[in-house]
Amino acid sequence: MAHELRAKHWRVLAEQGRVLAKHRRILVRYWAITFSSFSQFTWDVWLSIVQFVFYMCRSLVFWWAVTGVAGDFAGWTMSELALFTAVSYLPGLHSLFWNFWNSASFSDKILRGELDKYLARPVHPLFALAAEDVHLAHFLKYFLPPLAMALVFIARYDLPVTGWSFVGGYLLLSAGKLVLTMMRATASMLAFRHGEVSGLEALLFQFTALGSYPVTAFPDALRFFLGYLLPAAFTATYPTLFMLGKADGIRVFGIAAGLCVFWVVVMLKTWSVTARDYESPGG
Amino acid sequence: MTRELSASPACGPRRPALVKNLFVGLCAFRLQLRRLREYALSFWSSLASIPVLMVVTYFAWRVVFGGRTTVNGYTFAGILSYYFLMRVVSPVIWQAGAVAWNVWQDINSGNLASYLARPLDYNLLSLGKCAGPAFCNMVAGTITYAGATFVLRLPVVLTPTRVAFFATSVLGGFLIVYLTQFIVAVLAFWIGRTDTLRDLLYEMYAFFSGSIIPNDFLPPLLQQVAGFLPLRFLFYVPVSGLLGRLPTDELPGLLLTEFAWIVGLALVLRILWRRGVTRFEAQGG
Repeated sequence: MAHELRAKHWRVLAEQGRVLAKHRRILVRYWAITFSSFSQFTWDVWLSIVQFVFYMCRSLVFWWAVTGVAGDFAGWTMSELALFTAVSYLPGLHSLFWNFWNSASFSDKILRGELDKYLARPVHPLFALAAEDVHLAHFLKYFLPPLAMALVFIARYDLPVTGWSFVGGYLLLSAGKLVLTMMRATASMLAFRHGEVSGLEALLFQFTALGSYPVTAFPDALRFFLGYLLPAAFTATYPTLFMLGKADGIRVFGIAAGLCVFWVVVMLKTWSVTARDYESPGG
Repeated sequence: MTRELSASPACGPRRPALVKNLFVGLCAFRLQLRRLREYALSFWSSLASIPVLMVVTYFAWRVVFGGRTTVNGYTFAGILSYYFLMRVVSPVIWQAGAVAWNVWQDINSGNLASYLARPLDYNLLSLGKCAGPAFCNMVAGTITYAGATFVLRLPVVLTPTRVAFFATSVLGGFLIVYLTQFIVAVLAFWIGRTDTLRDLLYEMYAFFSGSIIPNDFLPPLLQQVAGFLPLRFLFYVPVSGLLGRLPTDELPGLLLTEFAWIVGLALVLRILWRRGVTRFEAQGG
């Protein structure tokens, strides 16, 4: 009896291993595709990196101008704000595995009845959808410039950031960005019942723009809203504070983990309920 | 090529061809207005984003002001008015940016051939396509701003001179974005892909147009560069004009400078277009 149970256990494990291998193969294929598309437009890739550096410099100019006239921003000095800026542009680690970024086209796919090909694949449809937006080359393109910028600022301003605190802060940021991505995915599922929702969804997520400022500067109610309900505080403020050793690690990691679990459940539940309304003529 | 077609005997004399081209532009303008109705929810949501963005601006600048009454010559109400006005103007200005994508698509897909074969001016058609949504946004923006100015008692100077200056310079700003974006798109005749170059140009707009922060706050070197470029006419000049931050006697000179930039950019576009079209190849079919 025990022997049979053990054999059954191994069979389940082997099956799960096969499912994981399928997912891994899809990801690796998408990663490879992005590199080949990069090699076709080398000049364009370099130019886009320059553009991204300019994009980050926008925020630096803003903080430079603000601290130039006000001295600091609610206790944040220019050196801390410089690190904050670099950190805020780091992409989340989840975007290498599950990048539900292009959610506007998700509602488009629902409305056009183009979801069939994802439903027909031998992996979870939500994974199949998000895997299409996974780009390893893009990830590196958007990861390396802010990382370099952050390291330069840490060295230049002699900021008290250790290797471990930096990694911890980055994991916190990844968790925060993953939660926002799951919220976005959940909101876009409203398209199953309410048609085109990209405008409405964009409106909701404009509040995340508040995350591009240090959230600790805002009133308590707004801080609560951005910390627990629409957790934009986890996209830059808390990770930077953690790196600088100014955040309670157990508390912020606890909140981030709780939010991740909560939104995984909400997202999967919403999918199972709303996807029933999907109709397509096929073909 | 379009010029040759319009001047050809089949299309009649030069004057009616110009009228015809204007009519085509107007048709494209109306068509875009109709299309907006199809996406009503998204359109109104994008307008509703203004209050959301203003909440962000309000809290951020409240921190900057702290206990001060003025920062760099701006009062708290003054800086909020600046951003508010900027947000109202930006949906108008940025509609012109669509031209880069449209023209690039037409060149790369070969669709441009079908336009070149028709007796119409492609430039006017593109302008009409961008101006439709811009007009709609301008109407909605004016209503929003007029209402908010009255309710919130924002510190604007609503003299006829300044209102006329504001309207004219916003129109000029729209044309500057339209022309610069069209120039970038036309480069596709030579370099193929231009979307990153377009994005880079957007960064330049962001730095020097006054959209991130009023140009008075920029470091001295960037202020000098901004003063030389036409990008300050996108937001900084029109908004500062209406807020009364620019002396009245400087306004005509600013409009003349803006006009000179528009003429200069239009000439550059014309030269590039005429040269670029000769390089254009399409399979037809």
